[in-house]
Amino acid sequence: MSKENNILWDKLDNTALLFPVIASENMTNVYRISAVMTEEVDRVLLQEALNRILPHFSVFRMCLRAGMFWYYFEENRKAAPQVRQEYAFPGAYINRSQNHNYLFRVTYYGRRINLEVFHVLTDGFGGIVFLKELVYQYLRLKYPEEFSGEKDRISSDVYFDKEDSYLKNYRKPVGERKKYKSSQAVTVQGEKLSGGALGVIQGTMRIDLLKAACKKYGVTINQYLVGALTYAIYKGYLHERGSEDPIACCVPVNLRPYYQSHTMKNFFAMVAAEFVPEERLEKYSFAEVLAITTKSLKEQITKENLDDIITYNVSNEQNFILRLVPLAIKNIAIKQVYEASRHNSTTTITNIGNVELREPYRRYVESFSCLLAMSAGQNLKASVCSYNGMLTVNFSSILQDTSIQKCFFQTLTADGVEVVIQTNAVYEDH
Amino acid sequence: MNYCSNCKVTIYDERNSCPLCHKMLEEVGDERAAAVAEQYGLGMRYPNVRGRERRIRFVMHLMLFCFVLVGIVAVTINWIFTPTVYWSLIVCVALAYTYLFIVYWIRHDAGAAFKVGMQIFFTMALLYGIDHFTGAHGWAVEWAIPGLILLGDGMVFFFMMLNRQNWYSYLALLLLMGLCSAVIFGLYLTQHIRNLILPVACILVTGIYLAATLVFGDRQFTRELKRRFHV
Repeated sequence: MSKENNILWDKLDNTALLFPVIASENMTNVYRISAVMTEEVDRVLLQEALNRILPHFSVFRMCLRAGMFWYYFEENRKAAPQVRQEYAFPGAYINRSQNHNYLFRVTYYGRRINLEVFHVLTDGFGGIVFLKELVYQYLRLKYPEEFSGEKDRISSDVYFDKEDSYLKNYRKPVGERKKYKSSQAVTVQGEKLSGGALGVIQGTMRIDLLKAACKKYGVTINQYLVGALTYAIYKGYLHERGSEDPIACCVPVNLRPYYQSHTMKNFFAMVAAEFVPEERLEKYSFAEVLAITTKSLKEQITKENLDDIITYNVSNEQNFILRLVPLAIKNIAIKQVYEASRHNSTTTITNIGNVELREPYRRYVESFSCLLAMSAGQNLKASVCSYNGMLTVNFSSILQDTSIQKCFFQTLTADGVEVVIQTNAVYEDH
Repeated sequence: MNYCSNCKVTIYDERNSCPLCHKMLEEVGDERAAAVAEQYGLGMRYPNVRGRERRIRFVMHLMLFCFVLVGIVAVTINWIFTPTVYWSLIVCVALAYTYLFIVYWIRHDAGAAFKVGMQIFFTMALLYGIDHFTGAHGWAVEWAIPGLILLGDGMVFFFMMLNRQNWYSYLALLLLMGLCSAVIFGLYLTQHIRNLILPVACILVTGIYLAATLVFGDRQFTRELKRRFHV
C-alpha cells in the first residue's frame, strides 16, 4: 500500500468535541485574526503564499467527518481554499461542505489579511502561528529582492506538535470528582443590529500608557482589561444597579505554559472573573470592581485549579460507556447541556497575547488584531491582541447599543490611555 | 479622522457622530491626524457586506413565498373543483418537503453523501406516507422504495466515480443502501412484498457493489470503517 493511499486521520481534542455540535449560522465558533499590512494586499500572491505553507500545517489541512460515535478529522487532499476578498461579516459560519472542505478561510480587504478559523481546529495560539507564516511567505513573494536572504521555509521556532494535551495531562480524579456548578449570570440583551449584522468596534492604544494605568492599581494588563470590561457592564448595562446574578467574564487561559505543551491543537481552559454587584447606596468604583475581578481571576488561574478543570473536562470523554453512545444521541445530549449552561456567563474576553514578527518582516506589518464571533447567551465579546507596542481591543457584538463599549473605553481614557477607535460601519450614524 | 470630546477618543471612520456616545464629532486637524497616523497607523476600514447578506435573505424569502403561493393555489383549486378529495394535502406536504430539503441542501454543511442519504431516507418515508394516505395499496414498498434504493446505488456509483480520490467517503451511504436492501428483501421473505424482481435486484446490485468495493478498495475499505466506527 503506497503512502499516497493512506489517508491521515485524527481524533478531535477534548475541547473541539463540542464545537461541531453547537456550531451554526448564529453561533459560528469562528475566530478571526487579522494582520494589517503597510501596502495593499495582492490576492494572487496571498493565494500562492497559502498554497505554499498549507502542506506544512497538517492541523489546518483537515476536513471534519462524522463517524458512528465521534466526529473526526480526515486529511484534506483538495487544493487550498480560495483566497477571497472579504465578503461577509467577521467570524461568519464556515460551511464544511464548501471552501474545499477546509475549516478555515483566508480573506483580504485593502491592506488587511484575515485568517478565520473554526475553533475545532485550533485555538488562537495555533491561528497566530499559521497567520504569521502566511504573512512571512506572502512578504517573501511580494518583495523578493528585500527578502532574498530569507529561505522559503517555515520558521524554526514553529512546532508541528499535534498531541491532545488535555488527554496527556489528564489525571484520574482521586476521591470525589470536583463539580463545576455555575449559577446564572447577567445576560447582556437588547435590540439587535438589523440583517444579522455583527458590529465591530476596535480600540487601539499604546501599551506603555496602558501599563502606566495598570501600575496605578497594581494589576497586570489582562486583569486590568477584564476589570474594565466588568465595570463597563456594571455601568453601561446594569446602570450601576445591584444584581443577584454575577457579571461573569469568561477568560480563556492558554494552558501551554503551565504544562510545557507546544501543541497546535486547542489547549486552553475557561475561567470566569465574577463580580456580584450588591444593592447598596454607594456605587461601586472602577478600583473596587477591578480589585474583585482580579482576586477572582487569581484564585482560579492556579495550576491546581487548571488541573481540576482538565480532569473534569476529560473524565466524561474517558467514560467508556459514554463513548459507546452513537454520535446522533451524543449531539442531542451535548446540545442540551450547552443550552442549559448558556446563561452562566455574561461575556468572554480573550487575549491572544503579543504577536512578534521576525525583524526583516516587521516593518511591512502595521498591526494585528483578533475577533471572536458570538455564542449562545453572549451577545458581546472582546478580544485583545498586541503588536509592536500597540494593543487592540476588538468588541464584537450583535446589539445596537454600544453603552458597554463606551464605558469600557471611557474608563481607559479616564486613566490616561489614549484610544483610537474604528468600527465596521454598521452602527447608526446621525 | 474625527475626535469625540465626550469619550475622548479619536475615530478613524468617516462619520458624523461618535459610535460610542452618539455625540457629534469634531474634525481633527491635519497636523493632529498625521501625528495619530504616525503613532497608531492608518487603520483599515471594513467592506460593506450588508448588500450580499440582504440578497441571500431576499432569495430565501422569495422561495418561501413561492412555495406558500403554490400551496394556496392548490388548496383553492381543490376546494372549488374537487371538494370531496383532499389531494391538495399531498401537494402541500410535498411542497413543504421540497422546501425543507432545498433549505437543508443550501444551509446545512454536511457532505453530499450524508445529504443524499438523508434525502433518500425521508423520501422513502414520504412515499410510504402518501401510499398509506391514498388507500395503502402497497405500491410504495413494492415498487417505489426498492426503485429508490437502486437509484441510491446509482448515485453512490456516480459520486465515487466523480470523486475517485475520496471514493471511500461514500462507503457509509453504500452501507445504508445495503441495510435498506436487506430490509426490503426481508419483507419479501416474510411475504409482505409479492413482487420478486425489485427486492432481488436491490440485494444483488447492492451486494455486488459492496463486494466490489471490498475487493478493489483493498485496505481503504477497512480503514474507512475503522475511522467511521472509532470509539
